[in-house]
Amino acid sequence: MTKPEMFISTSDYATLKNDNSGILQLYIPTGDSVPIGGRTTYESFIDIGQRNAGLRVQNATDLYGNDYSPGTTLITYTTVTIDVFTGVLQTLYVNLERISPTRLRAYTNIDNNTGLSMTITGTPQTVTFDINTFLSPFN
Amino acid sequence: MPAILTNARNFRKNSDYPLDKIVYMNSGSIVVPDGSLSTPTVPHELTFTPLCILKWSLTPDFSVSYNAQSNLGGDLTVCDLSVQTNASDLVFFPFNNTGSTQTLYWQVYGFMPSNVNEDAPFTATIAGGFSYNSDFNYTKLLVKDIADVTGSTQIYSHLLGYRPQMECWLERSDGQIIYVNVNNADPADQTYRPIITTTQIQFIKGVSLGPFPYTNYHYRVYLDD
Repeated sequence: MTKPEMFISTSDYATLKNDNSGILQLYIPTGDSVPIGGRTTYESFIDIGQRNAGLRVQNATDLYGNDYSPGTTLITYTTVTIDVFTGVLQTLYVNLERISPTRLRAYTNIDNNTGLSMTITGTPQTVTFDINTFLSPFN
Repeated sequence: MPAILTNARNFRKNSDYPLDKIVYMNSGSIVVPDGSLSTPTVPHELTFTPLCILKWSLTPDFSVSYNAQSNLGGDLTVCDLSVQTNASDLVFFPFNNTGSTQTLYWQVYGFMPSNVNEDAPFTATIAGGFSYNSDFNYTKLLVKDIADVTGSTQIYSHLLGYRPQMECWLERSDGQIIYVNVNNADPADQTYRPIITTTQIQFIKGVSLGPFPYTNYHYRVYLDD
């Protein structure tokens, strides 16, 4: 054992190696209907990084000033009209996930379990994922 | 002559800035019954609480993998996994609402907190591999530090002129440490959240819920963008 923090670099400890970088944006529009008992999904894709590459991601939405924070999940909001009730706040979980060894997917779902008609009425927004991949120390 | 700060990121390796050293690595699997609320633990056997990052998968080859809490709110019929660390253990928080038992495979690697300078077991164990390979660009650490959020919002001015990569954890008053991977975009939510700009990082103090309020951000900022 040794005190690793005393060294600029040391061969005794695994390190992280930069791999690739890219931007993935997801546009969430307004005006779409969400089917009764169903789901509306918005998604976008990017091919990036080597197999099993780690992700270091920052995300932001232009709805709230494009303030970037670290993470692969963004919580934002829109509004929906349910039957005759307008301006109902709807939470959106926008996730970034790896769906194949080299493909990432950004997506959000809006479910309609109200039994009534639902229409998305909020301000359109673009969620941006600023992605850096690095070689996993387990590779 | 020291490297000009904003050009240092263009070096594969730069002796003015340390390489981020991984002091803990572990992997395993957890069998999670449908609807289980258990929080299994794994001893990390370190003399300090590591700052850990998790990757998990439904397959042992990790061909499709996820960061912690990456399925938050995405679907009611999914799995998810997150991990926290304390002075002795990794504490896992699995979620399984698929209707059947699932095996979640995990990989965890960790760093030493900036307020710790202790011995750590070696993690580079591949005897036939390269300790340094000029084909790779290594992540270069600009700063590692702690932001106290028991008072007001703290600010770190990096003045790089671009938004750097960073990793961030929150520490609770009981010493448990949680990786930050979820961003609440609306300031009205009053959540703990680091905001990264081209000149500074604001460590926003939110409203703590539960019996163990947050006391510190642990953060690592890299020259790489």
